[in-house]
Amino acid sequence: MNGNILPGFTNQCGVYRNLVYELEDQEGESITQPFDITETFSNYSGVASLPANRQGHSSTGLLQDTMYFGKTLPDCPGLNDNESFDQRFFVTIGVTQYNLSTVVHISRGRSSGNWFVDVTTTTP
Amino acid sequence: MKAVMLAVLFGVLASSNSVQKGQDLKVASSETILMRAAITTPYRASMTNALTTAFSSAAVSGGIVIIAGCGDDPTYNFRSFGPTLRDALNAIVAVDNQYVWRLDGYAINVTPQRGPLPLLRSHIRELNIRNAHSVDEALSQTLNLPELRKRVRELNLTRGFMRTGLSDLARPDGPAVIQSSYNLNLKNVSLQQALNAIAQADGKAVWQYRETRCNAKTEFQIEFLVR
Repeated sequence: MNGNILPGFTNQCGVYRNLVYELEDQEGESITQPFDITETFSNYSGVASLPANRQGHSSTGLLQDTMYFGKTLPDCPGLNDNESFDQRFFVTIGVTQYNLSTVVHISRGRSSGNWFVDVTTTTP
Repeated sequence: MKAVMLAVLFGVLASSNSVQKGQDLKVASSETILMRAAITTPYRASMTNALTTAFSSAAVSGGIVIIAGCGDDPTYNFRSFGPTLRDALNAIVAVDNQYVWRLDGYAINVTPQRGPLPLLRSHIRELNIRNAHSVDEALSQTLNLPELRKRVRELNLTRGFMRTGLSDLARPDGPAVIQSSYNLNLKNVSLQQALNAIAQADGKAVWQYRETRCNAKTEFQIEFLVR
């Protein structure tokens, strides 16, 4: 697939889809203050193993999530290498964690040689 | 633009390394980070997830070395007996006596008790990271060193699947996100020391080296889980 090179991800063989998230309060108002956010994963099936939690930081209330699945050349995912899992989030302020309601189901990789990244927001 | 410049004398760092498995250490200046408040995850979690929670809640940099088999990592209930990072680390390594935590300068590493794995011990004669805009980019520059690529082949390792994570994004009508720039010059270090230097340059980044031994194949992944 074509696209811009991600910093730190050169010479890759894989597939990706870019998503943008905005943190909102329960009334749907944008939160624009900086925060740390952790993505967690569950219900994994696929050729690898359940990804570890990852933490990022937002200074604006927006986040980019690049759903990438691939290998560094000369290696390449096999014709039927793929994975699917659920993604959840929590925001940490001080030592308090706030679970977010959004749940995303991700399915990505190759099937019969065809590349795909399918993203379904199941909640809310 | 935040410029981060780090020059590390690893001879000094190596001599300050210490190993701990549930006992007190003599206080050194860098060990004050162990007194920071840290979260011990209250729910069942893998060792990696418990460690990233503890590291990030204490705002410390570090690294995690995990040896895995086929399938998902085991999960545990962690019971900490105090509020500090030291308490959290002791609680986490207590569930699996294969692992210990070590202080390497201002970075904390959790590794197999028997010591660093061969790839992490690889010697780097000189590493010049220039204008890397993320820890991922600094890692990529490191792993592209010819001596490390050669070492991966010698050890008959293959690199596992690559994944990315969340990153900061500017609003269309707002100011640009402040971008870090990592510049490091390291000489005569191991790969593990180089990873710690990148993590410390960030301030609170946490790397993971994962070696998966499954179906007569050994794969490795190195990635930053906190950045």
